[in-house]
Amino acid sequence: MTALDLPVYEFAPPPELQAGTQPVYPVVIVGGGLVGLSAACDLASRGIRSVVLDDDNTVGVRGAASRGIAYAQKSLEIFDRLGIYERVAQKGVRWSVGRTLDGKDEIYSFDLGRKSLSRQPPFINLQQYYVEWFLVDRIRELGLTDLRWLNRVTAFTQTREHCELAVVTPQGEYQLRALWVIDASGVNSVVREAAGIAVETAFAQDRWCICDVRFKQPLPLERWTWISAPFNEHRAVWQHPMADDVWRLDYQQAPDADPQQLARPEVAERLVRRHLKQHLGEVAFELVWVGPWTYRNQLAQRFRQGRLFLAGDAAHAFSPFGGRGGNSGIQDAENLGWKLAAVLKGRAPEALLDTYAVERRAAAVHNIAVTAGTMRFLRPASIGARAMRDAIVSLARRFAFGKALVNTGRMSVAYVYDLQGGGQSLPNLPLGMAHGPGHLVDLLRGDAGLIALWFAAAGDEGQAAALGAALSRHGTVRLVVVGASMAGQECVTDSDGKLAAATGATAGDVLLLRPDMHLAARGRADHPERLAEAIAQTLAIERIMEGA
Amino acid sequence: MKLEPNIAEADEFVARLCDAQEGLSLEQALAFNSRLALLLANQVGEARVLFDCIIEARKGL
Repeated sequence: MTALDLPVYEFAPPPELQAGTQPVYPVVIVGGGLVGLSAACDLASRGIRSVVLDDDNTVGVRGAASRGIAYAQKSLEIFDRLGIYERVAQKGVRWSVGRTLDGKDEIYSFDLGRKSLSRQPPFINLQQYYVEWFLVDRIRELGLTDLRWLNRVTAFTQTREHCELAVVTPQGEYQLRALWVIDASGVNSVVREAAGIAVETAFAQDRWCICDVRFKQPLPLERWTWISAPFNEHRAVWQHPMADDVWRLDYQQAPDADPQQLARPEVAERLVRRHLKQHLGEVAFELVWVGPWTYRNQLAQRFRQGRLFLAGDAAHAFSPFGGRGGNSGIQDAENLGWKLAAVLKGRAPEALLDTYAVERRAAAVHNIAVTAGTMRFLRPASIGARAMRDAIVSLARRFAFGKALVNTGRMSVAYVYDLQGGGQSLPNLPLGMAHGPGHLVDLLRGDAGLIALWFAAAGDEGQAAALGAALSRHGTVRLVVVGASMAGQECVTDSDGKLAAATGATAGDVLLLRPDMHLAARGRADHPERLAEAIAQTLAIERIMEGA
Repeated sequence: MKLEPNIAEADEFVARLCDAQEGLSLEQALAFNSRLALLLANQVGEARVLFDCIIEARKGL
């Protein structure tokens, strides 16, 4: 197998190793993987300094695994805001078509591109280490983050005032203090264990073997899934394109298959040769990485404990169907980023941070339920469930309603939070801006706070003063006028009506948009008081009883 | 979930339901009944009713 040509980051002795001052850092992030780096980059884009501690000195898992591969539209939109989207798009493989086959026949296909309103495509596939690499470059460019490689955390404690971490480096150990700690160190987190946060773990009896394989002959740039593949003893197979002519081929195995045996290159080669022979004949290929895996669901009891937050795999893990692991971790980072920045800058009380735990834990519970459904479909657990699965496949060959029941992975979409305004994440749709054509994400760059999108009509100028006053009651909420041109106001145009279509907004409506593009509240320009209340609620600001 | 009689030509329905399984093995009968359950479920459509029917069908087994 070929060694990957990944960057190596030098160990630099941190100041704490030399005796002396012990500053309290605003934020320390444990784990420099996809989620930890996304959090650091999000915070830096908001002007917040952080320290990232990573036990390795490169991207990816010790340069071996490619891990996550499918980046969903929501993640791509976040990458756009963070400033790495262009590189991801240039290096990765766009796709929107998925096909499900039974034997030699296609029984179901979808094209996610048809209904998309976003600047970003439904999916880009890319090896995870590239995304991490681009994030590191961007973080360095922003210049606010202290990336500490070969710094391994061994202990964690916290008081009411701060957290304390014990860190081991090649040149000795030190203690590090932080106001807030984000634990993004993965499923086996030491920090989570030290904090005493319980996790529920469930394994299921099913085995798979991932083979990342490089070959030159082109296959369609689509996601293909076999429920039953003749070239894999009638078990399931996944086929996904990635960058550098590498494909992720994933083979379902017998439930009692020996993982040691599967990991042997000659065993993996046999799987791949039979598969490719079916489509391409005898072709030369190269195994890049082989990894047997099994289903595992894991959920931490709490995502916040005082000054500690769990994010990504440290908080939740589920089977890879639909690409929900990495994509939900990136959403964890985004959800926490703007809230932590608001609290650190004194714009919101610490109670806002509880909403991170509530919202992202609900998303994780949902993702576990969704991926468990796919797991049940691919490995029915009883005779009856098996018969039902086969009945679905047989009906799917003939009828649309049957196709809808085929579950070979429900693709990752942004979770809809339980918020008054609907809670959905708006797509990165086109908007006309003062400087020319732009997109919704362009409103959210830098340290954007809440934004009020006012669907105003000509002649509504008279409402601007009262609206402006309501929007500044609890700090500053940026007013953006949609559709009308109004002197002294920031104005955008929704000329193809996509924003109105995505939100159902009509003239006089005001939408409260959070920095993570989720719709927090809906109000009316002629009821500014209610909007002020919605803003307070969104920022977890306790309202003072009127006339009390 | 309706539990009062609601099937038009009830006797004829049961007759066809049984006749259709003539000559089927246990495995084939299971396949037939699974397909039929899915087809009927799509006619009903309403989630609450379907969930209640599943609970009711499981009782005593």
